[in-house]
Amino acid sequence: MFIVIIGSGRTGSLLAGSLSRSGHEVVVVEKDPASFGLLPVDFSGFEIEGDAMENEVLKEAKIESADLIIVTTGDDQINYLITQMAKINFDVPRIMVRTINPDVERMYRNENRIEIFSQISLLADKILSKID
Amino acid sequence: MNYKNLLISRYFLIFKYTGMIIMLAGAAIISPLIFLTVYTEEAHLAVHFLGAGGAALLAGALLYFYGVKNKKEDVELSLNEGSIIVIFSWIGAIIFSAIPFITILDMSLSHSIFEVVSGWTTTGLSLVDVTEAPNLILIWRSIMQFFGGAGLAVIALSSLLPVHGMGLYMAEARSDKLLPHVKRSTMMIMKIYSFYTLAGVFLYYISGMPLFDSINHSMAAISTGGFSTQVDSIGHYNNLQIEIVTIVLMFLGTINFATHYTLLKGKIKTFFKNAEIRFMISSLLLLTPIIMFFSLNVFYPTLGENFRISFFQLVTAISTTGFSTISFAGWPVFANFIIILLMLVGGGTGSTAGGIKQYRIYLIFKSIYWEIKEQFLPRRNISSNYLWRGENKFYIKSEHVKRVANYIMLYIFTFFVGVAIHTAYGYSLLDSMFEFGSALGTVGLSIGLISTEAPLGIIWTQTLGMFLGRLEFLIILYAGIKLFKDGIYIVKND
Repeated sequence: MFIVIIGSGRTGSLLAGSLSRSGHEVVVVEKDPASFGLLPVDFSGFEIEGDAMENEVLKEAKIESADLIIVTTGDDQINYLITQMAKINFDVPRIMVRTINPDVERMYRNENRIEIFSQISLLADKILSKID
Repeated sequence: MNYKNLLISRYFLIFKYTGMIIMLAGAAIISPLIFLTVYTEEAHLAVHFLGAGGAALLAGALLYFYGVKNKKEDVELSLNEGSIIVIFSWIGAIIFSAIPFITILDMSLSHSIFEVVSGWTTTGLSLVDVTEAPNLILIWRSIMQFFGGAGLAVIALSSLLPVHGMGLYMAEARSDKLLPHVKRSTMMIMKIYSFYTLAGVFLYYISGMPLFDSINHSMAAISTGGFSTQVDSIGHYNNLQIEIVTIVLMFLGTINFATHYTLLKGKIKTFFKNAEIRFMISSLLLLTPIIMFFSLNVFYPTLGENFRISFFQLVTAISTTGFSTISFAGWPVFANFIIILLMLVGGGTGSTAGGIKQYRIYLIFKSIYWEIKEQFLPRRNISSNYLWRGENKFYIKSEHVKRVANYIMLYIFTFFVGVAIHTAYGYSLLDSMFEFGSALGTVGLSIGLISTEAPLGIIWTQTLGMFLGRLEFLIILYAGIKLFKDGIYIVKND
């Protein structure tokens, strides 16, 4: 699968490393070049330095031909904007997005094709399931 | 103590991969036997190839199973481990490949190693008498160049090795990525490479070259190797069509695989924007008339002949192939000097060629230009400088320029050391620069200095030069330092 990952922070680089190792073609887009250092040494995909909120940068990452885009930056507004760009401008078939503030989940309420992963909800669910 | 265990398990992983690559080299040594179906009279030579190949397969298998058995935990391969694997597998491949030359042609060890290093590094300097040598040996020389051109690690990654091999890929100086996955990149490289080689065989054949020679020359041209089956190389045929085919193949061989990929996808505009393509075209446009009208017009009075000869030798020098149509020994000093310059510059990064690489030279020229330009810009001006590389703009940071400048200095320094050794043996400065420049840039043109009578010191200096030039120095340094440091650590904490 051809996967574009937006943001090479702790989450993005962890995902990129494992996906690359298991044989997928991975492109990582990141604004701060220092963050590429978080990628593991055997990551063999492309690293693209640039602001993913610009169409040109997304085009450089070949987002039109992506099978999946994973948006993992640390900012909910940016994540929302990029998912909209991926969906409307580039028609990416499958979009995964990370949300930080659980309230934001409601913004994606009516979106098909977009899968949301709210880290706080996931954490809370996990803890709650242990208590019962 | 923990660190020591980690180190040791890393070395077992290194053993495992090195073993795999040496097994691959063993398979390569046996591959010339395919030609026995045609040259049945050489069947008695098969045992030599089977012996050498079998020994390599056995040694590789032993290393592999030793590594697998003792490996406890999975560790990642970084550039440093990659360099150790690459160095060891190259040395292994070289030693086993030399066996047929010793046993069949009765060559001395030093001469065989020279020949084999010249093959694997795609240089093309030769000590074998091609008129006497059996066909199996000739094809084995070409096969070495074919595999050496792509690189052992690249071939291994495209077929055998699992996906962890990023460090390996970087270590073999083939670091441009075509596709966002190392496995698919290497497979694409092998596809492009094999396709061009087959096309080359076909083109040579329809130009009137015998089939066996076509196969040999095509492999040697695309890999920018330059081993020939004739004493006077391509000049033997004295056929314009064959020379044109050779020029095209040499160009293809010297272009970065990533750039080829852009071209194959039909992006012709981006192709011509590429830094290396621009550099190569402009330097050939500039130097061909210079060498024609300032030096060789006395030698070759007709314009057509002058152009044909000058252009061919310039392309063979800049592509670091080493085919020739004339003898350089009688050429004017100025023309030979231009050839030396081009041999130092060399081909494209991430291609099969050697030398400093056009990209690095182009970058340094550009950076001088940028520095001058910035001097005249307003004080608060901010500019970002870029080059075209592969399909994309590549923004240049001063860190990158520093690394490139260091590499060039290291190259020039090694060049001078090698030239000094040659002059110490009593050769003229021009001959020394020509021969060592040719060895270090893995070109293979010769001014006539290398022969079976050459002193052993010269043979080994050139062997080392070819090895350093092919694997780009730093990798060898990294591997050496890493081995040394780890060795000390393991011994101390025993």
